[in-house]
Amino acid sequence: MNSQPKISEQLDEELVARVQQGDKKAFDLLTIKYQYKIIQLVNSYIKDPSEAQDVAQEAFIKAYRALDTFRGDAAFYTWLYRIAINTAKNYLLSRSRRSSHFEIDIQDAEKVENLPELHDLDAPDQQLANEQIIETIKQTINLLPEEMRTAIMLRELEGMSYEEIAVTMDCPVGTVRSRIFRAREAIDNKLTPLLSNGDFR
Amino acid sequence: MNEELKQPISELFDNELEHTTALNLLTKIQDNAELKQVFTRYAIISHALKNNEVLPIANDFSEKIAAQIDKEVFYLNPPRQTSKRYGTLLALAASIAAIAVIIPLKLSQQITTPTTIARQSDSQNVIQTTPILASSKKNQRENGSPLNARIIDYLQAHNNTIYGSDQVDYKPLAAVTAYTGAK
Repeated sequence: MNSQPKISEQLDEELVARVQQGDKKAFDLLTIKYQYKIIQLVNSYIKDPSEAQDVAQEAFIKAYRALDTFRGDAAFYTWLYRIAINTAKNYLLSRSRRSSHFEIDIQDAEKVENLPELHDLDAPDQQLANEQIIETIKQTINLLPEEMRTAIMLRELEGMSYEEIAVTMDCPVGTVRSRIFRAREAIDNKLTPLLSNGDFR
Repeated sequence: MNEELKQPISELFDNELEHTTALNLLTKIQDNAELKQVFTRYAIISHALKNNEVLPIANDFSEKIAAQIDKEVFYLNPPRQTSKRYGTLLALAASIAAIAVIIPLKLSQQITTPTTIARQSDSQNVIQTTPILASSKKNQRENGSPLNARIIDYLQAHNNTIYGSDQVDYKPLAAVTAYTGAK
């Protein structure tokens, strides 16, 4: 039904082939395309945004080094996600070993990592800024026209494709594209002043 | 300036952009810090909506990776065809194995027929080696060693004198080998 993942995979295949032929800039495009998804994925394991970025970076480098062995049996992003998950798990394991000097398995490392008291390690001012960002996003969403709010929520929370949203909302796909973009723009306009110089670390 | 590219970036973020357009846009984002920031902010919004938390993302994340990769070994090789390569190696191994079996068999057959050896050597060598052949056949019968027979055959096929110098006590290496082998 939805042809977009296929189009995305075609793009990945083309970029992977270019990297395998020695075009390093093509890997940069793959990095830009997947960096957020990989950082989010790694962060779900590590729960520390700063460390998550370092580990995600390591995962991308590992993927680059292993790319000549990538045969295309699975989609590139599946392969990349697997590398990212393994890198995150190995990182947790080695960190736990460093701190405890005990042999523990990966599941134990994840349990330790998921303890709630270990999560709120941000500086208080950073935590406040983050709360302000979340609050701004929520307020802006609530002020959006109904059709824009529904479109962005179906996309972000339900993970629906534009085509599926168009069917659900009984409108053309082009309208869905426009509604989602305008919703993002409205949030972005409120968000930009809160992010220092746009460089959010 | 980049306002008209913001909607395509939103669509790219959702994987809803056509192949060629997506590739062109990614290339533009790669070279434009402003567009990269837009892409980053859309990612922050997305994560905040889904998880109710802020995930900071450095703007230079991809640049750091690119810098690291620039130091890496250049990839020139296309993907290897494992199955074809494996087949070729298997065929090569089979050929070597066949040669290793057939050649000694042939050689041992040649030793038992003096006329074959005569065809392989020049006429002078045949005259010189015929007595040795007789004794080698006798030795082979006595100790039954095919290796020894092969060494003797080698000696018959080559004129031993070319391995020796004019020194009186110098023994040709091949002859010494034959002696050791016979022992």
